[in-house]
Amino acid sequence: MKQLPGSLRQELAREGVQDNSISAVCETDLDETERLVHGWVCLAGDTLWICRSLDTGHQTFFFSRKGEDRLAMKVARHQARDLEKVEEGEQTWQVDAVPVSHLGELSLRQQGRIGQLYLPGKDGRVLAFFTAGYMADMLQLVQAVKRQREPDHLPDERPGGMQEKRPDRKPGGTPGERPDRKPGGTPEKRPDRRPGGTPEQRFAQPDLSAGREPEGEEVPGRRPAGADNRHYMVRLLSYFRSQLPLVALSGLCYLLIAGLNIVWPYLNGTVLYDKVLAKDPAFLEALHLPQGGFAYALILVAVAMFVTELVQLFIRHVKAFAGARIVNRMSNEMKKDIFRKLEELSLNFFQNSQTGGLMVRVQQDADTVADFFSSDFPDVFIQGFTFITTAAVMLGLQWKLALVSLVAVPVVAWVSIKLKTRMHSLFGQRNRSNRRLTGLLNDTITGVRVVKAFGQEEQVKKSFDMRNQKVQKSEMDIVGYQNRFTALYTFAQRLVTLLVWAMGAWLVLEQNAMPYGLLITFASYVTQLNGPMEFLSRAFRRYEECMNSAGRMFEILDAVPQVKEPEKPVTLPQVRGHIELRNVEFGYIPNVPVFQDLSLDVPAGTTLGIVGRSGAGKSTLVNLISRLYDVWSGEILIDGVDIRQLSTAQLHGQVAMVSQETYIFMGTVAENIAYAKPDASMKEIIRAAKLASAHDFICKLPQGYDTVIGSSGASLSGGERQRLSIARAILADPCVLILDEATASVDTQTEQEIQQSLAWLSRNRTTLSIAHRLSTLRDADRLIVIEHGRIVEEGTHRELLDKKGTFYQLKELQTKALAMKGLE
Amino acid sequence: MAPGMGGSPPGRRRPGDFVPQRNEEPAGELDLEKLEQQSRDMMELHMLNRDNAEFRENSGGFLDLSYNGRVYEDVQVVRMFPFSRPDEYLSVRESGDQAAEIGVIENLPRDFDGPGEEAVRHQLALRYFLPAIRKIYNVRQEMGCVYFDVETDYGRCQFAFRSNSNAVTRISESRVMIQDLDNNCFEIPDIRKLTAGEQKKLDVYLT
Repeated sequence: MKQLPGSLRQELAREGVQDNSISAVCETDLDETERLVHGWVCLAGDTLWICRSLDTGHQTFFFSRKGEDRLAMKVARHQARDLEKVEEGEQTWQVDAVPVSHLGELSLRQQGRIGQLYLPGKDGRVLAFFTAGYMADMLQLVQAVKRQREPDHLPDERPGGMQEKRPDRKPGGTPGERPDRKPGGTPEKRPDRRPGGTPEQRFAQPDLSAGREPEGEEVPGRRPAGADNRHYMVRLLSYFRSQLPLVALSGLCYLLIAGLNIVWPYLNGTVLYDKVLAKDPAFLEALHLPQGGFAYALILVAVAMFVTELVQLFIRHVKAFAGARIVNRMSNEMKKDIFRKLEELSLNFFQNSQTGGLMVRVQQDADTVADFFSSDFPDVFIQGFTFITTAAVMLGLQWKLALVSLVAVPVVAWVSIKLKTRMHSLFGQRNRSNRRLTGLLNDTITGVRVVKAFGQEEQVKKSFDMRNQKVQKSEMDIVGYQNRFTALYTFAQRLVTLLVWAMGAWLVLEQNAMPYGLLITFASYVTQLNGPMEFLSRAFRRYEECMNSAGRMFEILDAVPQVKEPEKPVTLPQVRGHIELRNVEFGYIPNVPVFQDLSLDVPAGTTLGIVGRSGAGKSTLVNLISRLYDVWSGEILIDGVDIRQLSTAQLHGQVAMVSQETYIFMGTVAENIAYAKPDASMKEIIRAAKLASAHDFICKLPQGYDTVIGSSGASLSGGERQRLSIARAILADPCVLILDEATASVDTQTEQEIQQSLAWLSRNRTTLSIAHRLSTLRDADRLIVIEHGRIVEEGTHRELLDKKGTFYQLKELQTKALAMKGLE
Repeated sequence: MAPGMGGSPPGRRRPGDFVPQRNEEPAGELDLEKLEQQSRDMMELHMLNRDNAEFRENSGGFLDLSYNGRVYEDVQVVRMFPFSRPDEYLSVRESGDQAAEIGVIENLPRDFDGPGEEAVRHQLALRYFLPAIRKIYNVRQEMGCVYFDVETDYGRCQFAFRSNSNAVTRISESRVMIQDLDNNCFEIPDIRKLTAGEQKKLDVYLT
């Protein structure tokens, strides 16, 4: 049970309500004028307490919109509660008591997004208002009140047939048997359980507070909780693990380059000017050269400088090679991981994400990250090393001048850090506008037929321009912001150079504190410091850009598929194809179930025809059986095993669907037919095509089975595509065949041809057939008619016609309509 | 494989009677036996080989087939896999619009020899006339069409195709086929063997 805020507990205690007497509580978040007001409804003993906060300043309001928002909602609520905990001391409460005996038939109803707890009848009134997210909790409270009023009451005897205890919702778990269910038999009719019925039924929805854990949700478009840049960095670095030797080689190259960077100015300045040109005899001695042999010394220094340069060039080449290899591999690995993950994710994820956006993620984000690691990340070490060694050498040579040279470094670093946060949001903005542009391109190109048919070219152009401008603006924002910093950096750099020269000259001329060559060396070191300085100026920006992309990438990698592979999958040695649905409840939107308590039994090898009006839930039913979605509660069994316990490979190997949407993949005709069975022999492919009445049209294609079809290949008609998808299903040889309006997109003659193929195919195979034309279902062993997510009629074709119910009406309507067109 | 895909023994039904009755069948009146018979016909692959079939080139240069005691005149031989298996799975079809399939040659060199194989090969050579491009002299694009001037193994020729028409198909990494405006096909057996200049001319049309 949820915890009441301390201030409310105190208030209730003043009313004489003890903590331990409270048996049920539910939060509310609205008052009667729909203002956001925090409140609670508590059941204590035989009194219902309606409590409302008198402070309205810190309310947090969350709508339950879509399934994927639930986690965010939970997190946000949790945070909101923390907020309340902080402020609870200040809250004052208004509490009203309603004795349970006065409550009559306490009920719930929903008006749009607002739920109400009310007392029906003549003196009825609304006791509490709340948003849809609290409906499940409120339902439990109402049940508790009812139990309180009628302690001997049995839940299923009540009008409205409410479930006392919701089935166990653990994914993969087996829900408890309903007491009223006849095992193995046909489920009892429940005419009272209409979705439009009592609110208690409508809101019998997945519980937000109990049941499915938040980590079981797919969360597109949101950062995983607790993830931060450092966390991403560690994970990104793990991609290097597989190529440690190359990384080590690369690191060695960086170190050598940094070392040589120190040597060069020393040779160029101090050695050349102060030792050779200034004719320092000690230098000759150290080199074991004869007296006055400065020409030799000069040649030696020149050779040393040349060799240093040559070695540096070679190391740079090795470094570039190693770096490119590492980064290419890393980028490939990341793309592979994202793609694999996308393949694992369930249908929900894709339906809630923009295709363009996902394409950007797979392509660009991985590249951005890899790019950072190829050019900027190694710089952390090379520039860091260069900076430290240069600074150390400078300090050792002449500390006063060194301090002047380094004065700008903290300023540049400080400004860079300051810019970081703003940069992150600018990069996010640019990515979003890019994603929208890609999304529009994707939409317009795939939907070009509709665009042209409705003459929307101008409109599309306009919206493209608009989005393109946004991309441009976001780019300009970034560039503008960056330029400000570049100006500052350049200014600082020039100023420091000037200062070093000025102070160096003063030291050489006035103080005579250092030789001229040392000043030249110093000037070279200052130029060398520009590298680390410039790096500092862009490092944070590039880091933020990379982390922004990494965040989006990991968001996909961290998404948990809603339809999960079981940990210990059950393997059926031989699938017979007996399908059973037990008290299935499912919907696409929280609070709006499509099915409630749906039970169905399809014996192995029989054909079940599914009939219903558009939107009745026919396709949803078959999608559930092929486990494209998981049920909210209840279970779907194949040969007595819950499909959530079967491995998806086995399930999808045994359940094949021919649906109204056919998809042709880029590839040859033969590859498309063999899609579900890539190792099929040519003979098998040809036979499957023959069975699907596809062989003849394929042979007529100039390149036969070798014809490349799909996105950039030859185009096929709707009927031809449909026949290919049937051939695909035939070759897959499933135990359960699902035909979801398989012949919807073909003409009558082709439909007849295909129907014969299908009739042959469905023999001795459990077949679930949804057909647009009811006459095609006459050979089905049994038909069910679905209305509002319930089975309203079932029987054979003949029985249903004799019954003169919904099926009869639908059939009559269709016959008349077809007769008018002269088709039947 | 789907149950029953093994099919009936060959020769149980005369393939000459293989008429597309199923198209005339009214919807819904499905007789189970008839359906099964049709299904068998639909799925059955009648394999042709030297034991049950004989090909002969007739005086007009067309191909005749005797199969299971029946003679089919002017049959067509269609490659099911013209690129990947040019000598396997050849569909032998009746002449005429319907072009119903009489049978299938699973492997031409294995199942036929002598004049029969020669006759089939001759038909295939006519049907799949495919000059191989050896050299590309010039490629130019004008008014939405691409004009090629090439040297083929059959001699020099010029052809054109519409740009943006997927006329250039990549059959494998190196093998490319080009279909021109008149549905003539040209093949480049190995694009890697073209000069860099020729490859550059072709590059923009490659998919």
